[in-house]
Amino acid sequence: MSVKLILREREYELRPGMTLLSCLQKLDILPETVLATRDGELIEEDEILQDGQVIKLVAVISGG
Amino acid sequence: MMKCRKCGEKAAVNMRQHKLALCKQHYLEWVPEQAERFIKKYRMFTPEERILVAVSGGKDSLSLWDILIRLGYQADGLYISLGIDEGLGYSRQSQALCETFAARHGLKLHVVDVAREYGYTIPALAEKSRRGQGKPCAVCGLTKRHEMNRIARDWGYDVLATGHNLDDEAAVLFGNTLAWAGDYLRRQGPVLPAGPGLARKVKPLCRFYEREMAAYAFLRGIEYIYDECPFAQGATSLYYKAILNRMENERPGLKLTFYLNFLEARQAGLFGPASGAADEELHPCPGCGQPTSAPGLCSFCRLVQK
Repeated sequence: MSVKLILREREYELRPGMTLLSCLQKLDILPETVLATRDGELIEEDEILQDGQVIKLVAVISGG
Repeated sequence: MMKCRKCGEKAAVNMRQHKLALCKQHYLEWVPEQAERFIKKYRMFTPEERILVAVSGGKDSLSLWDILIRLGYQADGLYISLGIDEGLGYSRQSQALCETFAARHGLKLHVVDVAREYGYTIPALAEKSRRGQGKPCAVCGLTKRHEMNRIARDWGYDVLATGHNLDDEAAVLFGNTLAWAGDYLRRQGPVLPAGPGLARKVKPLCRFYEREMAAYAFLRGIEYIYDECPFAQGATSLYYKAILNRMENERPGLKLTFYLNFLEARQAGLFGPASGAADEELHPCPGCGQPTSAPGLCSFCRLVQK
């Protein structure tokens, strides 16, 4: 039973049933710095993540 | 479930700073509407003027080009090939993405290759300059500014548009404030007026959060270079962005308020007369003809002639 979050090359496994926001907080990722996508669609912070889902996080901050 | 304020469907983007959530369709309408509002508010350009958009292959500049075209402006692109490879083909990939975008939309893209023009790539220029030992960002910035000005002047563009977003502007502002860099603070803004031999410079995305631009690029299906420039690691701008985002997380809207209150203060003259490129005495560089503050060669010509 887990949800997988992927940010760049790193993968994180979390327990299902939490909101995306709670997951990001647990991983110490600021919501402001990523977009969360599932099956090519954007999802928002209040979405409850279910078992087996894979969430790809797109980093939004660039430097230079 | 978060709902779109306009239609009540499931929201795709929630902007805490605006207390606004929108679905994909309404978000893709909202962004150009807002951009148009800022273009008019700050008197950036008119539909009659010719715009040169500096594109890097990143999300902001390609989205800017997309937005300007959707709004019906005359906008050509400029890609400056910096010769950054680092085993990743970074510049090559970025150029390919700009070319694909231009071809897909039937747009004109100017490509300038720094190595072909001046004999050195950016990493090589940084090596030979005292300015950029090991860290080519200063040399890169100087070169890009010089080349953008040159192409805008030589090809007769009225305006040069760059894809700086709110996070970029807030990070620069934060750095300049920490340093009390009065001269830079006085000149920072959505528009830098034209000077002799210099096109007007504008930043139509300066009020969009970086996250908003990433969401726009994603939802529009714009293919952009996702990887960071290999030299950006450890950049001060990223450090300031991280600090500002920590504060934004606690206080949504903080970055926007910081920037907008600055613009108001600047307009009110807090940093001296609010003017732009033409306010100091400039001389044409004997090498390239671009205006420079000190007599003799400009910093770019000194760099390439060393």
